[in-house]
Amino acid sequence: MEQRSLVLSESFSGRITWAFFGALSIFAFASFLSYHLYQHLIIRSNQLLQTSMAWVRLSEDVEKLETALEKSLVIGDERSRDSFLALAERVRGEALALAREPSLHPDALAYEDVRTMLETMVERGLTILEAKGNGSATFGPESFRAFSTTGEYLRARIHLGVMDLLRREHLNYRLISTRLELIGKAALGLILGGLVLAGAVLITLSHRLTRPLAELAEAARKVSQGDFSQRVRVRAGDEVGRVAEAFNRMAQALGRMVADLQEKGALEVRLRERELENLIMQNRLQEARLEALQAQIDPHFFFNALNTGVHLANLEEAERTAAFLEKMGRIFRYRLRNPGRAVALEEELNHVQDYVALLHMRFGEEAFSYRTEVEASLLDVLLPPLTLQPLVENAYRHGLSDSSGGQIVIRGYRQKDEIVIEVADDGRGIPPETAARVLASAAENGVGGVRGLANVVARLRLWTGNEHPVEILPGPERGTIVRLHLPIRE
Amino acid sequence: MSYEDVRTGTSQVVLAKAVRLLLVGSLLVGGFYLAERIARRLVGLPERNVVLREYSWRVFAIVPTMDDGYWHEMRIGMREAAHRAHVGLEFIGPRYPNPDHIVDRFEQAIAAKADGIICYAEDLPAVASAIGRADRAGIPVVTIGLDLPESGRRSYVGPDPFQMGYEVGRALAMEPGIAEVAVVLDAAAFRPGSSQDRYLSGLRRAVGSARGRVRLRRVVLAEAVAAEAEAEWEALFAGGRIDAICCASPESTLRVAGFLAKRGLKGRVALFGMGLLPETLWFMRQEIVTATAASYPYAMGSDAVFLLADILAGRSHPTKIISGIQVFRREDVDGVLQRFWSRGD
Repeated sequence: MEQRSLVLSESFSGRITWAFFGALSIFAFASFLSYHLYQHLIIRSNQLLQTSMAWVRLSEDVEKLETALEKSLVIGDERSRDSFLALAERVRGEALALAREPSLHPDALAYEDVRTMLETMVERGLTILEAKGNGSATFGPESFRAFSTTGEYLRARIHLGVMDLLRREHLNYRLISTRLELIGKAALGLILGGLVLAGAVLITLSHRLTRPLAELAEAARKVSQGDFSQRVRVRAGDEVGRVAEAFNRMAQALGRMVADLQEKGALEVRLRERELENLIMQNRLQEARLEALQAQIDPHFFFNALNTGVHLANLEEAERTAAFLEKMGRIFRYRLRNPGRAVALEEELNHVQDYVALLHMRFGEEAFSYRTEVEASLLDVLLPPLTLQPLVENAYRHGLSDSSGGQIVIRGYRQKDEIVIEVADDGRGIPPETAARVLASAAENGVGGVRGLANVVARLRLWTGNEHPVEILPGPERGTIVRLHLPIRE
Repeated sequence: MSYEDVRTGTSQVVLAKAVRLLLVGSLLVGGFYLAERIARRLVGLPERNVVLREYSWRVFAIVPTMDDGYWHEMRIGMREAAHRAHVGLEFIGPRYPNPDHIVDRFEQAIAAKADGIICYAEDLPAVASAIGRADRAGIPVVTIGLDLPESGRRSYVGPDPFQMGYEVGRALAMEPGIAEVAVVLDAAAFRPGSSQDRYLSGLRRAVGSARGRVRLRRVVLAEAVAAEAEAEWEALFAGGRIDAICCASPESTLRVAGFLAKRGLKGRVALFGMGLLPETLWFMRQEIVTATAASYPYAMGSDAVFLLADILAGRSHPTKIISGIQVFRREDVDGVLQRFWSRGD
């Protein structure tokens, strides 16, 4: 299993999500910044307004305090005195509230000044009122002037505080407005940058998505036309990358498979060609042999001579000689015919009959008897010429030549899907190991005394396509059976 | 479930998605707070967790708030010292060193119940009386630039007038071609034992050591800030040859320099003044004022604040800190100006 990144994704969907989120983050940050900036500006404006209003209220209260004292001094009743005292208490409370601002506040010193001056003013006012009440000599214009001067100081200090506040805030606002202008441009730049970035990412992603797909389609087209060498470049581990990887593996496997098939086909063709060449070679060899024989004996002269012999024998009434020469002539004619052309079983049996007649003339009919047990339907079966005669010759030579009274039987019958032709004798037989050795020797194109059998086996192999068309079996009691297996051909 | 999901296994897929979701959330929240901090910094709101230094005493500085290098330098010295000494310092003026205004500022400081006062004093009875009232109201006063030892001030930071007169006298003696010297004193500030009296003593001592080459011919008592004084100065020149004039206050220095410029006496009469007011420096550039004696204002301002902090804290403190005196000439003007304005306000 491949290791998967917990943060980044190799897939296209993941990349698109991240790109979208990246652009969104930029926009979100710009929005957050604008939101907070305006929030802080509002807070700051409110603070400025509230502080200014507090200063203004205080200034008004100082005036009221002066008026209240003056009124109390002029009227001199309890009500005006209480009014002054109440006002003094309220103003003192306001001053205390101001002074509660932390000392690190830029206006902290001003607040403290105002508070202490207000205290002084109230103290001086109370002193004046008490002195007047007691009829004390300390009450007089000097005391009231000191009280009024304190009020003036107080108003001057408030005025200075307001001026300081406005001057400071004005400077701050100039600075802030410069910064805001800059931030506005930066935010705009951020948004534009985000848009450009998002566009660039989108274009890049779409390009990255479509280009490999186009390459893949082109490669697939070429593969479909048989060019299995086509490969696509695997750029990344995303979906397209994986498809490309799979395509490359598939193309490689297909190419290998087709190459194997082609190699096998070529090998088979070469084998068949070689077999054909062997066959042609063999035929040519046979033909060459015949041509050689024909070159040695002029067939016309030979057959004319035989005919003359037959005529002479007839004139001399030598019937056996005449028959001998006649059969001899037929045998030679049969043997000199084209060996590549198949003959009917009946024709082959006639040839065997002539050959057996010659043997009888030569060694006497008592040497062996000969008969055929062939189904009539098989007489038209085709087989290579000179297939049975060598077997009959072998049966007599190796089985019956040492004794007399034996028999040779040729049987022909159908068995399942083949035709079986047997050449059986009741001679001295052949041991199984000898029979196996003889067949093996025959399979090696014949050596020694089995050349005729080897020739038969080789030709029947080619004729039937069967690797073992010939069997050598012991007879039921004695002797040997050579069994030929021929296919049924319609 | 995608091909990738199938390939990598469900548990890892869920983990990866959770991590990504967490990352996205963290980024958004982090971006929100980062934007808040940036906005707060840009708009200038104080950080919630920032601790600023608090002051221990509220001190009023009654020094001229006019915008010139000398007072600017002194205010910076005071302000920087106040920051280090935990003193909440307020400059309440006056704008120019006017005695009436100085007295008024004392009344204001008393009404405001200041913890202490640093004052550039004028050697006048009204000012000395205001200092005394402040002291009686429990507000310690440190004078700066000019000492009023009888006023009730707790301490003084500035030059010694005798020493200043002596330094000016030495400069006079070293100046070639000066024989007859007139000394201009302020009529309102001069009395026996006063600062100007001590200045004159120092001057006499230095001139006396010049073995009779330089003589203080005339001593004029005039109101330094009054235009009527010019008549007396006319009489000064009408009475005989004068090679040099010495002024015992910054104000008289400016008036006499103006008079000399108006009369076309530049180069004929050497003027030895006092203080480093911007006009004085300008007259020095014009070669009307030959030299002026002064102490460096930054050190004076700084020393005054630390001294008052010691007084308010109940620590032992000297009754006066004498500043170093230097006689500045024309070639020193650029250096002085550069030094004055090299610090931000």
